[in-house]
Amino acid sequence: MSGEFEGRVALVAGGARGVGAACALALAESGADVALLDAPAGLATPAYPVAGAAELEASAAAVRATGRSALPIACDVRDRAAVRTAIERTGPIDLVVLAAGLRTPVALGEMSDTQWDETVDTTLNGGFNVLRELIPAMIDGDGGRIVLVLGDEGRRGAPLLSHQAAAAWGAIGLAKSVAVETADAGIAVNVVCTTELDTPAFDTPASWAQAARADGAGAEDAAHALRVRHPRSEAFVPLERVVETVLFLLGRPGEAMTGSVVDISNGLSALNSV
Amino acid sequence: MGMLDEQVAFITGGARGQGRSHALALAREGADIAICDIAAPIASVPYPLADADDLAETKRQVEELGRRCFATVADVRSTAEVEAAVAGAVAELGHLDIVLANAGICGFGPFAEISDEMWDDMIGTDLTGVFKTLRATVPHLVERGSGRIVATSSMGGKMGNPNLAHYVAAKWGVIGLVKTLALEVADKGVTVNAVCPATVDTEMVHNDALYGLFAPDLENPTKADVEPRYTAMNPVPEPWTPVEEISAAILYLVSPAARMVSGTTLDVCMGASARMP
Repeated sequence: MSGEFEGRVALVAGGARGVGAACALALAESGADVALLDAPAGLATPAYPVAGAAELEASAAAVRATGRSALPIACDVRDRAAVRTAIERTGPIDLVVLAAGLRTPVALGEMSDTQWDETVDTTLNGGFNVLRELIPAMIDGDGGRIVLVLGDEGRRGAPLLSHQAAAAWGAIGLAKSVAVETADAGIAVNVVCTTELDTPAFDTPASWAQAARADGAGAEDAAHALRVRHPRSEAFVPLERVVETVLFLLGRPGEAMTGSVVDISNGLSALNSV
Repeated sequence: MGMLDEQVAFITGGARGQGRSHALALAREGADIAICDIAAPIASVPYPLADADDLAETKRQVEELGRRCFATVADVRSTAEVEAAVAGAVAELGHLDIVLANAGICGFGPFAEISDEMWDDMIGTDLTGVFKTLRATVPHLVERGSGRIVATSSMGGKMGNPNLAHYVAAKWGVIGLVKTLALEVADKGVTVNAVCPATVDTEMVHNDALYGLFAPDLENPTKADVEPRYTAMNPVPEPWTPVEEISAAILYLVSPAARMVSGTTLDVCMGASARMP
């Protein structure tokens, strides 16, 4: 099978489930070999089960089923030594998708150090940790394509998600700075921001209450509130739309496009001032 | 009669620079002032930070204006130190009305050469330090049903800047944090905003390390060497923004005139925002 990404090697952080797993599979279907980083260790704050070794292996099996090779690595992006070791195993990478993230809603005044740290360390510091290991070889080699997948919390304020908003806004600043620094090196760094996804991270009473802006809200209350909030009257962004956009940004059209943010928001971005 | 009579302001990074200027500006309007500062060096920061003498000097100048001043050493990276500083301020001055999360550091390096220590000190101070300051103070404002919070971001919080990835990431993060807290306390009488200065005329930028950032082609660039380069960056042809201009923006955001202004950013940037979408 030939595809747009034939002969390329991709790395997907957060590749065991959700957007990461869907991107990994789509990349493989387009010809790329894929390294998958996931199965974080020791996270105390998520109220949902984070992806473990079995899910990581299942995502790798889906990649292999396309005929491409997969390298699943249990790696918490917060752990710099583990990230370094992982990237020593993968070798040079052409395409990067950073999709690791948490969702642990809590009011700022009640947020623990651990809640702040786990979210900021995963989304912001985790992105830094991975990119710092990969960028030098990309600069010395043939360049590369990098896409950060972040929440819409990176585009506005999101009550009860101040850690996630701070981390996502910070990650956009990081992406834009790296984009400027590497613009002459054949590297493109872009960001996709999505509104709510129907994934396990959203499937908690705290996330329902956050989305519905009401304590004790259920899943349907949350979905209703999301339909009301979004101009397209849809609660969730389909994973397929995110995957298509990530693959677009990883492809050749990315050559003249770096430092950009693409919103997939069921129309919410139409309400942005810029 | 001052605009801020009877009010108490808590200011991080108050030993010198913008923090001192804000302390004096608010004191002139009648506010009592609590300041904290790390008052010590951070190894990864390539210029001298404020010291205990600077902290004492701000306190002296506030008191010279006839206002009370509580000054203490606190590293905003430390939950315990921030909470102790806030508790001390409330014990000494009675309550809090205004919070200025101003403490910040700068440093630079090509992205792949940013060390763990540089990254952690920067995110810890310029982003997590703002979080810890707001977390420790916001209950005091909510309890009173009124309050003003201003965090110091930067024009670096609105664009990419080469060789400042850690600083830029932190300053973008501050804006996301501010917008979120603004929504959380919108019905509590508390406003939360950010001020985004361009390069301000303080010790943070007047040092060999930062001069080198803007004149990498010169071996030992001086202030005179870099001045025209800074000027060239700004539509308003000035090299550096005076601290008083940032304090004026802060005074507006804490004034009665700004009671309907929350979740926004105020650029004080010599026209640079006119070039942005």
